[in-house]
Amino acid sequence: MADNPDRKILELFRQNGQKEAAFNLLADAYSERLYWHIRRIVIDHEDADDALQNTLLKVWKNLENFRAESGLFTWLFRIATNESLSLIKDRKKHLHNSEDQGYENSLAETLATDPWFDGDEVQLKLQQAILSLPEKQRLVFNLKYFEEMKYEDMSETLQTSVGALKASYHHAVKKIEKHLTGE
Amino acid sequence: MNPKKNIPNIIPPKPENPFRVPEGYFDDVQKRVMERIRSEEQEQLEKTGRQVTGTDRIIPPAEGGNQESEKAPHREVPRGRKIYLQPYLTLAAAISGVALVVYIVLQSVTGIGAGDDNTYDIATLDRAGVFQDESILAEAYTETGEDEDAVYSEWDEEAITYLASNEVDLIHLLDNN
Repeated sequence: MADNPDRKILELFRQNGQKEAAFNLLADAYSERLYWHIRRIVIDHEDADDALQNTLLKVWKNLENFRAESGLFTWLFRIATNESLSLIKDRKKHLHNSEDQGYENSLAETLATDPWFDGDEVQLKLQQAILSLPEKQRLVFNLKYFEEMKYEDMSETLQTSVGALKASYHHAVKKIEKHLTGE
Repeated sequence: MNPKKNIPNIIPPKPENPFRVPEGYFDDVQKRVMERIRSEEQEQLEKTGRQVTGTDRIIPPAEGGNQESEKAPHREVPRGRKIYLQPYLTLAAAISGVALVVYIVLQSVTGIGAGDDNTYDIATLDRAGVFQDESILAEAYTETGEDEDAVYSEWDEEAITYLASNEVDLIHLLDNN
């Protein structure tokens, strides 16, 4: 059962001298999944690495206070999402770009030559279309389309109503469609 | 239209992951994060000035470096201002007490104490709680700015009556504040 490994991690974390062992178990179980979620948001590998490390650091500092009101992975996912959005905000600040999508535009432009992007032309266009979406819509689209997350789970993670998420996804799809058809 | 996802067929079916990572990236993520955690915790220890004892963890050496043992030389940590000043406060209190007793005795016997200009020394005022009370009044009278009138109106009658009846020199109080 999915709960057992989580419970084991939490119990181990609270035992004296076992914090590091528990953390290693957690990182082993979840870091790759978290990474890909982060990567789809921030696109760049180095940025994703930064955000993942920041996420795991926050987990280390706060796991003992985790109350298990939500599942462990939901909690981790939420931290990773926040760290990704914070990182984007930080990058935008450093760019001093007055355009709202300036940062995303520059990412879209460099994606074709990014050594850590291996997609064909269709995939490149899709990623560039996704990058044209506002952050929150991009996030919802990624979660629904790539991670096939249920709206109810998404609602718990993003603390947004199911209705708002469905609307967001609908708008995202429309915009991507327009982008790909060149309208 | 893709009925399952309600997505127009313009958007390609979910592609294989087009993103890559350096080889072995996921193998050492944990190790790098733990190194960062230890480094931050070490910095925190040094910043707070807490004494590091042999019971603390030994930090693995950085590559090419010497092993950093947390058995650093014992550092005397200041014990805090309150404890540090205690002997002086005790001494001051003792001297004040003795002076007060002497003064009271002298005053009662000889009448010495009240100056010609009707000023009282601090020890007497303090004993009677007058000094403290009147320092508040002094502050009220030295209030400046927009609230000056408001402060004056709150204190004036009571203050004037008190000051007048005790013949206390306000300037003397202000000086002592």
